[in-house]
Amino acid sequence: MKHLFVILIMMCIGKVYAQLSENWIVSNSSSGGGLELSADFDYGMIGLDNISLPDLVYGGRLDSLEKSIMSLNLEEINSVRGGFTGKASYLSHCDSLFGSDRIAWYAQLGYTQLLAVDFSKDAFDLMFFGNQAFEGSAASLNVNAHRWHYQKLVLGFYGKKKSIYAGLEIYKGSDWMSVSTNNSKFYTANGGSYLDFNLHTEAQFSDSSNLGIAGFNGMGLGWQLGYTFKNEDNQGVLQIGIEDLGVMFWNRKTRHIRKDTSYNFQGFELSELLNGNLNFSNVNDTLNLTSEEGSTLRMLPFLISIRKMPVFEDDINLAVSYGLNYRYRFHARPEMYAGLVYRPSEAALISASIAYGGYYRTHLKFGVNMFLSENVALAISSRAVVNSILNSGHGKSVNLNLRVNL
Amino acid sequence: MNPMLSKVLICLVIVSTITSCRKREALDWDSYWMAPVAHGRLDFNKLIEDDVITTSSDSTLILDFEQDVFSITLDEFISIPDTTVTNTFSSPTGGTFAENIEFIDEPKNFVYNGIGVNLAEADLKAGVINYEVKSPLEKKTIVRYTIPSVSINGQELELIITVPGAPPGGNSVVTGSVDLSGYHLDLRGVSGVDFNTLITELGVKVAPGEGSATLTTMDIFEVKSTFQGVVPSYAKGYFGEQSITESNQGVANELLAKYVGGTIDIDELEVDFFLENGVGVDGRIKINNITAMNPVNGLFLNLQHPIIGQTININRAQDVNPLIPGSYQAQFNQLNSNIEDFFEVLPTHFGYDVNLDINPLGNVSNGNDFAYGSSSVKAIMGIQMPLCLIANNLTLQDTFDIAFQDGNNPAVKSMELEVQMTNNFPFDLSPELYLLDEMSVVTDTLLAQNIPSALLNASNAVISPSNWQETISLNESQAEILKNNGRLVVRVSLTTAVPGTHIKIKSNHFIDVDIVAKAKINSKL
Repeated sequence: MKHLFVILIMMCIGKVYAQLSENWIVSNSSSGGGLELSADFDYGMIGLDNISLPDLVYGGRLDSLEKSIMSLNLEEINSVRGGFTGKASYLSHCDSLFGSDRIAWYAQLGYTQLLAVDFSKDAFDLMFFGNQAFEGSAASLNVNAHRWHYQKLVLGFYGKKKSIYAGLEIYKGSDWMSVSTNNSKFYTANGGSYLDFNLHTEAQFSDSSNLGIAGFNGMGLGWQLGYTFKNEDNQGVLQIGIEDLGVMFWNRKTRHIRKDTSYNFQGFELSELLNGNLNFSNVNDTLNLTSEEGSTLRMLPFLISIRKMPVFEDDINLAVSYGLNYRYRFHARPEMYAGLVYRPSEAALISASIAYGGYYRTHLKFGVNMFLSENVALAISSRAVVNSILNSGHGKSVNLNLRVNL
Repeated sequence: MNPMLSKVLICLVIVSTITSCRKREALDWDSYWMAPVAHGRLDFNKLIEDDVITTSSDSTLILDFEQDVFSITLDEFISIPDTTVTNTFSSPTGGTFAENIEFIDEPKNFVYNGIGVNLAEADLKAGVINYEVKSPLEKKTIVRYTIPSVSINGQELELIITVPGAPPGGNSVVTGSVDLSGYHLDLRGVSGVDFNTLITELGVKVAPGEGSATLTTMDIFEVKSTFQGVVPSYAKGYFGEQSITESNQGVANELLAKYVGGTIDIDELEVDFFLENGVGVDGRIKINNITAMNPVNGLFLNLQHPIIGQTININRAQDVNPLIPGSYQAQFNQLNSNIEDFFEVLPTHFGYDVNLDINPLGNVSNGNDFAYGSSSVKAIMGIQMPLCLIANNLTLQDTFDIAFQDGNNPAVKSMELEVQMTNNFPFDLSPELYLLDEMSVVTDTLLAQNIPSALLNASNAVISPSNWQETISLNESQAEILKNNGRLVVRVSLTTAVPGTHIKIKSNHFIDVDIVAKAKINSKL
């Protein structure tokens, strides 16, 4: 199977509680403790198609035909988004907390990497075709790119019966990037007689000398909380939650670049060339893309989730589920979905829904929950974009969960 | 769920994961870029680096510059060699020396050996004194070594040197050095009227707290000071009756530094010849020859003029501020010399052979000859040449370093340089462009073309420019050579538009140049 990215398996061990994982079709919160590990991998594109993706991801030679096909499919503004989140949670067995036997504490370690890039077709064409294709016209260099890489420690409590949870999140920032070149232009005159740069750039980068999971370029605080509404039969009806609602203090080695400038380049003055004074300092001085360093406080890409959960009648093994997910500054737009859940047996659930937004435009979501034994459950789900039908981009997701009651 | 089914599902996921791992290569693509490289207008002022062009009333350009022919400087009159001065002190009777009581040896004269002239004073711009002090006393000793002849800002040089106690039967030795830069050297001795004479003084005492010490008649204190690398910035004295012969066959003519071939015929030329004596000595100069040298075409021509081979007396400079040099002036023109032929050789170098006698009448200054470090006896030619000439393949060449960024990404796979020129000069131009490899050997000829001159009227005045356009193509290997070595040779030959006719170059003559590069770039990501 030539899958494009490494599939990461998430295994969950422990009792279920109302965390923000739509991979679980139903919520089955109950008292007791345990250990839970989770991971989700998603990517999605608008504009780039699934034929282009292997070239861009795996590299290799990109010939003119491939570039042309990619370019033809591009829209005025295109998107590439991808992310990986992993969590390891421990739910305590304590009988009471703060004098109450209705709540218990939990701790969680989380890992998040997110990348969101929007770029104009002109920016793609300029990079891959060069400026000869823009002779006599201006290329629009709109690029917006955001990247977050951080880890978190969560300490909180959860309700044993009420399916409520709330936790304090403590963040360690590894890497952060935010680049915007909106309204920038690059003009190539006829015959290449001059070039015009019109640059509007704002960018921030955390300390590039200290990257990777070991990088410690920021720290912050935030919250996660959620609640599951239940019906009279103790079935979850509506689940709402929010996580990563916090701020990161990126340290004083964070670089800041802000430049609004125009530059006209007509080549070097011939007399300077003859005198051996050929250098690019004038260009650099004019563009003056020097950066300043300084600390900054920024919100993290928090995630909001609202889900109407399926409720099965006694003799009907089919139910409706719908909901909304939105991750701030990462999703292009909120993801809304609606679909059906089928219960072929007490040990399995199968879901299918149609969705719009999030990483993509229109896409389909499929999921399976399997209760392998009394104490073990497995959940697998995936998104797939229906590009060929609706021309809505390309993307996939893999979300796997495994629960074990200890 | 069936346990077997669940195991199969998990295995499928794991297999899927493993088979999905595919090693990534660099994304590799070509793109096509264009950018202006150079543009501008070249007139004669810009073609010649130095500011040597003036304009006559009819807009004809005049080459107006000075060329040094020879220069004889201070170091050819005076040199101060290294020398060593040794002071000793001993007790004629021996005895006991109480602590902290200094015994002084009286000031002594020492002849500074090796100075070829009678030097009274000098200011020094370089040099050191390396000293070595020996003490036979077994007690710590303080030696005061003074050189009144060496001073700075009126303060005599005084060294206080502490010498540790010597081992029984031996000597204790201390060494050190003093930088003489900026010091004044007075070599008139104790009498104040001598030459080349240093004064030194020595004092010795047992250090306080050491108690008394016994000195025998055999015990000798010694201070040895060596003057090394002494270079004067000013000297005064009597420099003697010296005869100096100066000869050089390689004085570069910077104006023709880029000349590599061709000939010219000059319509008109005048040269003012100046002799300047910036030294405080009377001089008598005999110029045996001045030679125009063109090793490119093997032409060598001696200047002919009445002053060549004749003796010229030139007065000493006057030591006032600013210094007034002695001077002598002559004029070379077509009537009294072969100066036009001389410069039509297109000398890239000049040669000369000169005799200079100083103080031919003896010590008439009564020991007040002087010279500054920048002083010289020199000859200069002031050249005025209206740019009205016949040029026949006058060829200039230069090498340009092209600065590429380090690294191989992005890589230039091929390049075209689109060159457009507008020639408003009354010359046919033949530009050539060569690529050099790492051994500075020409590997490829990128361009060899002719650009016709501007259109001239019957009076040989420019009436309209000519236009020319050419595309220079570099393939991948040539682009690689250029990138790795970054050197291009540009050669331009000029031939006046009307054969055999002197044509004036005017201030409104120029070449307009526009160069645009189009490149195929290979990038990897």
